[in-house]
Amino acid sequence: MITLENIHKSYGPVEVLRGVTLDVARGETVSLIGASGSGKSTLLKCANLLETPDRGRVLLDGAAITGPGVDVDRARARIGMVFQHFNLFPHMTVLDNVTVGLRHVRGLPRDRAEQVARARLAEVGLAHLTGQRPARLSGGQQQRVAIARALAMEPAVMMFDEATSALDPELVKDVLAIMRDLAASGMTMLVVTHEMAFARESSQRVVFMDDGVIAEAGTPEQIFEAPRHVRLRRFLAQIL
Amino acid sequence: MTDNPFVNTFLNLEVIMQTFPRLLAEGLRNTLLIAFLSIVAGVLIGMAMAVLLLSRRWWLRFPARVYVDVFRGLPVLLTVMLIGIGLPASGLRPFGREPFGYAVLAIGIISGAYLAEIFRSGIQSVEPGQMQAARSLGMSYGKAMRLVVIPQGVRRVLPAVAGQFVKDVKESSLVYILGLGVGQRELFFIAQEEVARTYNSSPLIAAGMCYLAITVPLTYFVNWLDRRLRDGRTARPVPLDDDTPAPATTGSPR
Repeated sequence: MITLENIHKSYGPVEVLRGVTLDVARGETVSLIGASGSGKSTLLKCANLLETPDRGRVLLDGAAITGPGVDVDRARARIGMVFQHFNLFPHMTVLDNVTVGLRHVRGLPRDRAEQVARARLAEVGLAHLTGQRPARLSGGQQQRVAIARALAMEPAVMMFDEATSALDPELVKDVLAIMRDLAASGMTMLVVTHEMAFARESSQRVVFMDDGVIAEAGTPEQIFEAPRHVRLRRFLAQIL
Repeated sequence: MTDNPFVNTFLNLEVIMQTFPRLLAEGLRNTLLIAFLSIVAGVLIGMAMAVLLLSRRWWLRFPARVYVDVFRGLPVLLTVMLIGIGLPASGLRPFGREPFGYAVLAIGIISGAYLAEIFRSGIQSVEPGQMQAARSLGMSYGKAMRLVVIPQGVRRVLPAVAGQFVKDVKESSLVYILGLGVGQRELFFIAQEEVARTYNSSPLIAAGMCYLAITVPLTYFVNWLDRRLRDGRTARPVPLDDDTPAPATTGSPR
């Protein structure tokens, strides 16, 4: 569904990604784990072209979305993104946060967009907060709005960039439950996470990144029960 | 009337009462008109320049930078004369022979230069995550700016914008040097005519009161608008049943 081929990315002299190749199949959930600074988030940003890779290709559904002459905005509209800090639009109501993409990117009329938005918000359990501003919501509620906002666009792939890292511990479970249901429903997902329980139970494949490359990849059993790479063993020892 | 020369010079009621009808009938309307049109021009120019200043392409940034530096750096009086007298004299007469249009253009151009920097700083203060979130929904750069970034940026600098509007109202008085005709005279022009006629400064006090009647409410209006946008029109206390409110990370500007 989404394919990354030999992605390189540097910020000045710092080489953050040093040739990453990864393929996420339709309906598959892949968890990206690794220490901070290993390049996980940058890889995600390269995948939906919020950052332009220095080298390498990104393919969505078999078609390259990197390179000249590609309508990047159109490609991005098919990739849902959920950020660590939610990034809701604070000057809009919860409902408008979800409808803005539908109306101004997908071109839906207002009433149709609101219909879709209310349905998505109901799915994340927030139908009663449509008229509120994001600032009045808890972190967990904000992140659920952000998920609804991304899902409303009917993306082919959903990407989560440490979606629960900024949440208080007691709010994490609601957001994780939504992500788990989404994975179980057959959504194609690429998830950067520090939640090892999610990686273990809800993903088909776990990818361990270290120093800008994929150091080890495999099924959750392989990664968590029989890690081979010494850095992965050390990482798991620290985090579990 | 009192014999105190100070009171007689500044607060001569008789002169003030003679001046007020003319100020209100002709001056107030024209000052408001010049100020309003200049502000509209200033906002349009300022927003366009702010967007150019934020461009990644140097050849778009450069002309905007020059514009802002020049018109913020020149004395207002000099710019008003350059445009109000220089332009028509050189044969460029987009507003005909009456000075009114040139006056508006001059004040608008200056206002635009200041507003460009105010808007730019506001837009730049919006977290990069807002642009990223907008782009991740598939919005183009322009749409993301228009729908997400600029509305937030402008709200953060409303008090500074109000200050600029107040300056525009006051600077509209400088157009008196263009020699406005009957029916086009603004507050200051009328006041100084009366001063020359009566050898008394009280008309200036009368005009000053008119200026304050515009500028002070203007400031309070924008501050009120600022508060309302900050709190959010639709924010009503609603029981947050399933968990506690977190610190407003995406809420009010820091």
